[in-house]
Amino acid sequence: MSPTDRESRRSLVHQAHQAVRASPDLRAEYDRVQRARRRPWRTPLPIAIVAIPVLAVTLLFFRMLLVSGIYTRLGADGVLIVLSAVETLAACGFAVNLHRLLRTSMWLTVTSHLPVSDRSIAWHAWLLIAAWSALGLYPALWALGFVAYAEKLGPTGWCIALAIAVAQWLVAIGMGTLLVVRWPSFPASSVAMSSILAVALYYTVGAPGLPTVAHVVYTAVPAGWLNAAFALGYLKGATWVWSALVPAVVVVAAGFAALRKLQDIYSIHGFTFRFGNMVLAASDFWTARSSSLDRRLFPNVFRFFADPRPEGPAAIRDQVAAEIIRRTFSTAAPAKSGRRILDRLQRRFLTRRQSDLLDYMTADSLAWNYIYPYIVLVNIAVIPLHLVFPSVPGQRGPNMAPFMISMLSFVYLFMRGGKWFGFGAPFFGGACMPRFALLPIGFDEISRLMVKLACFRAVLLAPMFLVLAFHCVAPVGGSWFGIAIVGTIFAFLYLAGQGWVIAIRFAETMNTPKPRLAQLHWRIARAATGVVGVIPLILIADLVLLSGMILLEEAGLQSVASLFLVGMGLLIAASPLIAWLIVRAMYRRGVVDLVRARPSIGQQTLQSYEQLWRDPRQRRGTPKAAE
Amino acid sequence: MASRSTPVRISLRSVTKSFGPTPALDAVSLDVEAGEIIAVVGMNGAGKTTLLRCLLGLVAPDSGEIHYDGEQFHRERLDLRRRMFLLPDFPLVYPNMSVLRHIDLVLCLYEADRSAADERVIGLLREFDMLPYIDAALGTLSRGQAYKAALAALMAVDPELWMFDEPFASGMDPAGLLAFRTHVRDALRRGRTVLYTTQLLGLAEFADRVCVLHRGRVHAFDRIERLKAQHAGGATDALEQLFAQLHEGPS
Repeated sequence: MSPTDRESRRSLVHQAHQAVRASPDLRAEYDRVQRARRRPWRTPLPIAIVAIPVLAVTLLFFRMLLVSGIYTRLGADGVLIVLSAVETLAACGFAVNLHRLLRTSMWLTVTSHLPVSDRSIAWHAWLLIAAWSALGLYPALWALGFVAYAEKLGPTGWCIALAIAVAQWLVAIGMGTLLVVRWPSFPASSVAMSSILAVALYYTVGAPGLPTVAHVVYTAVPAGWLNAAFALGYLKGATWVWSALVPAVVVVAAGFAALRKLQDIYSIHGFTFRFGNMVLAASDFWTARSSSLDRRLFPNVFRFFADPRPEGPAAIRDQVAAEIIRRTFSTAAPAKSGRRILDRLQRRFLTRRQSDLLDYMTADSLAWNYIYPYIVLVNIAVIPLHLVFPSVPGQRGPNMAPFMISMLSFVYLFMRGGKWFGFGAPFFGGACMPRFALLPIGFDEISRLMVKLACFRAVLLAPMFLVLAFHCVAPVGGSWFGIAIVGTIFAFLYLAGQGWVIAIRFAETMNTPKPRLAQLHWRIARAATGVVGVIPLILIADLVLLSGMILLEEAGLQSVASLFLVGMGLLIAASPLIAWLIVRAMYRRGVVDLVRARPSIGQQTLQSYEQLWRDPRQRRGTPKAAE
Repeated sequence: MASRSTPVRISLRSVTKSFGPTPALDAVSLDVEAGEIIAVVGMNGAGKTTLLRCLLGLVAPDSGEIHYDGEQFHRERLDLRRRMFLLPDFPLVYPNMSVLRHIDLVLCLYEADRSAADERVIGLLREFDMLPYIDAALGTLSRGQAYKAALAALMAVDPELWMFDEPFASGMDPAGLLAFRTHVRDALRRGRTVLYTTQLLGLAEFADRVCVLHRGRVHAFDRIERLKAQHAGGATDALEQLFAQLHEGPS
């Protein structure tokens, strides 16, 4: 915005306020609207609810996580390799997000109707991503600050660490911009994912040959050049390594030159509006991006940015005219034979109404059926890891990697398999309403359906619970009986957790109860049962449990500590039912609305999780009616 | 259909709803007889949409009661909810679902009598020019076409109470709007009750009675002829004059 623009804007604001002040009626109305808008405590309150426990836990475990972790075991090089991977992720993330904003954004939706130059769109998109990328400073400051603290560096060392952290951010921006402009087909998502996975895997197997790997990273990865200067040049006194700063400066300079080029060459050929979705800007940039390896690896992500199918009305009309003659409407439901075996099986336990409800709430998704075999295969494949790597080199205790892989695959199935699109609340006409709320569908019947499916799936998941139990029990020499007991505990936790799953799903469709003292308990209940609210709740429960146990044990009150442990255990076990009952009460008593002014963070998170995985059946195109 | 097919009578008693300090509905009391078309008109922020959302249970009133045929309504009364529908100006549909599949699921969830509904669906799709799109994904349609698909589904259910939020600003083409009006009139003959909101005063005259909401309060609720007689001596632009007064007058 130029100074003239700013003056014009100030002048407009001044005149508008004068016009409001001129009339007492207008002023009263203006004040009323402003009172409704200005609620300074509204936003900080949920942030504080989340941030305070997270901060407390982070600070409490900071020393344990970092000191006894990477640095103690592997030294500064170990920390800086991770930082290099994270900054590579930041640079690739910058490229991916800039591409996305140049293709579609809320901002493009607005500007597509206005006479705004393409140059200006490119500049503002870049500016927005650059502002967000400042988050990349956080890990750099964290890692380099910790190294400076652990190496007991003086003020000069701290200043250099700070400068290197800021330079990391600039290199990430420069690299990201270069990739977008000079190499649009660069598979940024794939590289980012694989670099993080490679580092995680390398550390899991005990980081063999660290000095050599560190040198490779310092040489080959742009984000590593600055780390090389810090680790080798400053900490180890190898003066010649400071020359690594030269390519870093070149990358930053080239990045800013690329920004100018981006403004010059970014040209929108046209816009496409996707109903209920977004405005898509067609440009050469997107064409190049679409041909990258990322598209093959992440087809579902690209699907959101793809144009609607180019079928004209005439083509559809010809196709449908024949269809109408051939069949009647009542056969429109997907053919039973088209369903996967697990889906067919689970429907044997559902009533007709529940089956219809399942179809609607999951939008005919059979994702769970498709994912299940893969997850079973992964779980079987990791069992031999215990024989190959009974323990991780350089670490005491059993190898926990197979357990973690099984656990993550289980969580993946749990998250991706539970595609309940009916809870989704798209933002339309200034409000978010969950889809199910517009149809005669009740709270209890959805809950019953979800519990019924969970019971059915618990049976199918039994082998997986046993595999998880095997990972836990086998390394410590447990018997088959022990494995069965632990497996049963996992199954119980899975079933008990359904209360939370249902409570969270419903809670995220609700608004926050009114800010009145009499409604305070409902506000807390709503906050605690949402996606974001559950995180501090888990942390608080952990803190209370651990600190309570430690204090009671130190005070020598062993019996009280046992009782406390049992009590807390019972409370945690009962919490899913309590959460479900609370949300049910909010729903039934009309304490909350099923309309939100804007989507909640939790709702957005759940929706994005659900949209990332599609059934292969749906991927082929619109589901066809029965033959 | 599983529910009773008798006309539904609506009664609102001092229904109040506010969002923060802003009252959306302020002690609204209304009685709607069965088999009437009611147009709810009002300026932006008058509370029209909130009123419809309260009637469906999407929004919970702060105080007051809603009764259907004398029975108190809340959102878990599925028996009552099967007797009504609300179609927002932006229909909530699954973008990846085909038109036919959407209609099929809506009929199932309303537990509609399929033998009668299927015929109605074909007729409705034909009248709304939607037959060519029955297998098209809803996300690939224009807003007006998606609205027609959602409308056909709900009209095929044919419950006792029909509610529409801004149907005349839904993106439907003139043929679609004509078909819509024809079907609403037919529904009235079958004893259905229809409520719709609109900003277009000319289209309020399509209704039997007009409810004028202003800042959450019922400013007027009467037959269009009587409103005209009361506010502008029967002039044709009586509603426009009424709104001009509301706009200029003190709150």
